[in-house]
Amino acid sequence: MTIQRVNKDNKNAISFYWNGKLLKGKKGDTLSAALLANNKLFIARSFKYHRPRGITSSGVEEGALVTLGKNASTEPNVNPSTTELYNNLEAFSQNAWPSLYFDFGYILNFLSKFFAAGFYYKMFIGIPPFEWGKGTSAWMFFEKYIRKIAGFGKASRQKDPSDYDNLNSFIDILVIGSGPSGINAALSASKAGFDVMLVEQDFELGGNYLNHQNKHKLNLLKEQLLKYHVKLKTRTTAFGIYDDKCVALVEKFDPSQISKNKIRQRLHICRAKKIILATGAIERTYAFGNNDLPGIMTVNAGKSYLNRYKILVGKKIIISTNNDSVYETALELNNAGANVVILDARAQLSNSQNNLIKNSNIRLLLNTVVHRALGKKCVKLVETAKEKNSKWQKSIRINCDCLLISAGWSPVIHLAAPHSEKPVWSHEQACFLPGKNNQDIIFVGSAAGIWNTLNCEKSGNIVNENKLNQKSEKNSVLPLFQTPINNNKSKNFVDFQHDVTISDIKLAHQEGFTSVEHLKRYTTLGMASDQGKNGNIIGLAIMGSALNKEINEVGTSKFRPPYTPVTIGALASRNKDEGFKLMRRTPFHEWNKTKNCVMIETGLWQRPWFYPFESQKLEDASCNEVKITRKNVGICDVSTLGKIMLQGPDASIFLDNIYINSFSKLSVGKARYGIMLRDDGFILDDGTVWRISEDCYLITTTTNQAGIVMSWLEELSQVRWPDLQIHLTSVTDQWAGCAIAGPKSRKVIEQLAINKEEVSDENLPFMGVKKLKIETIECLIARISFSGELAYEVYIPSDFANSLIEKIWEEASNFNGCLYGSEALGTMRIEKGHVGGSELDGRVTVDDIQLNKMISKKKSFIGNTLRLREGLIKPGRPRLVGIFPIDKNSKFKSGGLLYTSEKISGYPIGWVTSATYSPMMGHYIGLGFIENGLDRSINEEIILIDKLKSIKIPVDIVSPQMYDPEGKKLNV
Amino acid sequence: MLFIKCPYCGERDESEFHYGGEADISRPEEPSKLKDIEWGNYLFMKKNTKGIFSEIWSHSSGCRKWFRVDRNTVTNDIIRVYEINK
Repeated sequence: MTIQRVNKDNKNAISFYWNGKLLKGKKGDTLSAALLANNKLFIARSFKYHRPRGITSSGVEEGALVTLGKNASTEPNVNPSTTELYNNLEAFSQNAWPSLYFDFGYILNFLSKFFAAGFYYKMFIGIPPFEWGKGTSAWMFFEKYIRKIAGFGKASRQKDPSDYDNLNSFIDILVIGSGPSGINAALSASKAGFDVMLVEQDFELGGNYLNHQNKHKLNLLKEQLLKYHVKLKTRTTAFGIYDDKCVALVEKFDPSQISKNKIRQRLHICRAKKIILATGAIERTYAFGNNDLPGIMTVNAGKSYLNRYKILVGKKIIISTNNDSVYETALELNNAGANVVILDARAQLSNSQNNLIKNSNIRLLLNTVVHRALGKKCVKLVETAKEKNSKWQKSIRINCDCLLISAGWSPVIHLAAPHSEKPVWSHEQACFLPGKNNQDIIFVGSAAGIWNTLNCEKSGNIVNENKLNQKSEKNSVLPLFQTPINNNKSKNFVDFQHDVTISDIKLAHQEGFTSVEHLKRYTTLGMASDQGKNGNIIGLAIMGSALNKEINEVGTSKFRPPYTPVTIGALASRNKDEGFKLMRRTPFHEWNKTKNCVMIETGLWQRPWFYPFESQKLEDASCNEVKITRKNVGICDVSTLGKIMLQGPDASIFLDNIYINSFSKLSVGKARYGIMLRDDGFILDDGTVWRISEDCYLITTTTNQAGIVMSWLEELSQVRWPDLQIHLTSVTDQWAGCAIAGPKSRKVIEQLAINKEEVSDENLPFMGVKKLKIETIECLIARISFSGELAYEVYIPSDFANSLIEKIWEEASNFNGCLYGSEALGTMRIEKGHVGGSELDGRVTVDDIQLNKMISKKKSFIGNTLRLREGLIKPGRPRLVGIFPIDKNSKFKSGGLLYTSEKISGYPIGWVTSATYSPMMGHYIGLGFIENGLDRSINEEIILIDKLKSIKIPVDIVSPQMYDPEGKKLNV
Repeated sequence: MLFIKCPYCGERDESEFHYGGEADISRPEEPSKLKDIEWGNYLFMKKNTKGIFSEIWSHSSGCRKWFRVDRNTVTNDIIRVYEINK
């Protein structure tokens, strides 16, 4: 192998590490270019057969993959041909053990018959003739070994240390691609006064101009771009176009500038009024024997490495082609000192091509293609095939150290595909051209099938409307997808990244796969990280010839975003760690923290869980809180409850429509517990409704359902009953709420009120509501109870929450009170048999929780019809009950299943929804549902089984009102 | 992502909106007189139109108003956006 730099100066040298070894490259190199300049051509092992893989291209269609970085910064499966070289870059070859040159996995190359298309599926069916290994057990056994040897690079399990950013923008015209057509499109639009952004995936502007020997024209155009204020973004890939011309871009920052704590990539969502796709075309190869040998690459890669990176890829170069695009390159390579042989599949050349090479010593063989390449870790010899009298036969062998292939060009039409009609196969040009679209997406340059540079530049003049409907030009190309002679001795690759060969596709055809989408999934053709940019069309053509169809009849599998791989980090951008979701804090949050409060996440809320004394554990602390509350008084932050202000002359009618019970007769200054159903008759939510004035109500909802209920009520008022004169306002954040519960709660309130009489049993009876001034602040107070004690809920305007809670706490402390959190709140409501979120799980009816006495028979309300469906009222439905363990020392948790002792397996007769240790009872208690509820025979033995926690205990079924069933404590 | 012109707030990104399904589903006047099957149809049976489809959207991260949209379900083009009662 004799690759070398043409200019051997040491300017702009930078160092990098390849498999741990220090090498020198140059600024402006890609990793591939730097590896080639160091004579490292063989850089990877292939996916399935561990065959040596070399650099195959100079762009996104690269067949060899590497791993970048170490430890947490590892990035596997990176395309070295688009990776910008920077100082101290570390890169590694992947899928090889113990080393790249000596890899045990290569043995798979000789066992390839066992790993043909559909290998995984066949493993499940079993190996004939006895279907040995049928089912999943053999697969389970082999899987871990297969996964180990077949595969790509390994991702790090550590957290990605980099930061990612996101950005939204709007633009008149977005030009994607900065080649001859793209730059000119951006300029013409900008000159016409449009706001234009030009994005380029490469780290340098210019596209195909960069591969030209003369950069004069490019430099002039770059000056113009600056002069006309075109927004330029390099290292930016447009990876998807979505509805309404919304383009997703990922912008990589200059890797040499990124220090550890800076942003690495940015996800950029851009809305454009028009999108210009100047995305160019990708040169194809074709399938022949050992076409994956290192040293075989595209002609364009040879041109790019020579003119852009000043690297001559070989001394004895063979070029195999079926089109005109290679002749200029052949001459350039020849002038740079290489010995060039051209094999052209066509029978004759145009005069212009002949003239180009006439005066050089380039050897031209017409009617000739490559049949097989030979060599071990690099191509050494090429066997050709020649057409004579319309028959192909083996012909001469030629020595070489590099083989460049051009089997035609495929326009990059990926981005527009989701918004366009099917791509159209052009037989003359042997490529798919873009289908029509109605999304203002315009193709220019070679993406539209326009081939020579001058015409591409002209097609960029997008402002002149007449030129928009340019027809693609005729191109002299002879379709060539595979070697014309059958070649079973060596592998003929179609997809380099996934090791798919001609025989895999033929096998898939033999086994009955005829649709391209099935072919793709069965053979995994085009499913690697390059998404078949090189191999798909070859695969389609081979499938077509097996089916005796044209490619346009076979069709192409759908192009989907992303165009090139995008890191998950960029997609997540700022939505990670604390930024992953919103956090809601109650107005008392800061104050709670000063009281040693432990918080728990409830939806988005941070809610007080328990207030440990010193290092108390959860259960000790919460039991203490229950005991003090039930004995003296406790204060609980209930700000997370949803609060909705309902106003308007029709407010009562609205409430009657949504609740099962009646509200129109609720008098001002009173509250009522209400249940609302969904249209299908199940319970949606429960809460209290406070009548503040004749046409003003405060609705409270549960914490979890607050958002859902608000949206639901808004939809009802705007869509279903637009004629009702009501107005809904969410006031959850405007009011801080605290419950004051316990036998001494009235005493606390009396101290807070200006006049004690205001809150006497007479003036503020059970379910009474009134406005109450605490200090000078007007608050709302209702005498309602979730704990079962004499209790009040006080709503304080949020701005005054922290100062007033201090005052309330001061008074409560005087009565030996405590603060209690959601754990103690839960314990007390379970003791009372009050339903909570775990009971009202969306599958429960009013009858199930035995509150059907609440249902008003005089009105119609949402859910009233379907709650009476046959299955929902049939006798025996599970109903709410309380659960006591028979052995008072046994513990259980929610989620346990209930059985009778006669049948303790299979479908249960009930389940536990909530469980807690009850300090008042002195043992564990629970709420749950069981068939027939309390009507079950008392003599029956019920067993609670929780297999996850290895619990199996006998229990008693009791009334859900386990503590103070008569409700005496409400009125002490 | 669609670009939707809320009749109250102007053009905004689809991510600010919530989809509400088919428009013009009116609630039966006297639900208790309907048979189960009629209720079932009202609640669950929705059209799946190919072509121009009238639907309702809510600007849930904006003005929280519901409004109507006529959208071509094939091309995703929005033909008309208007207030709920018009």
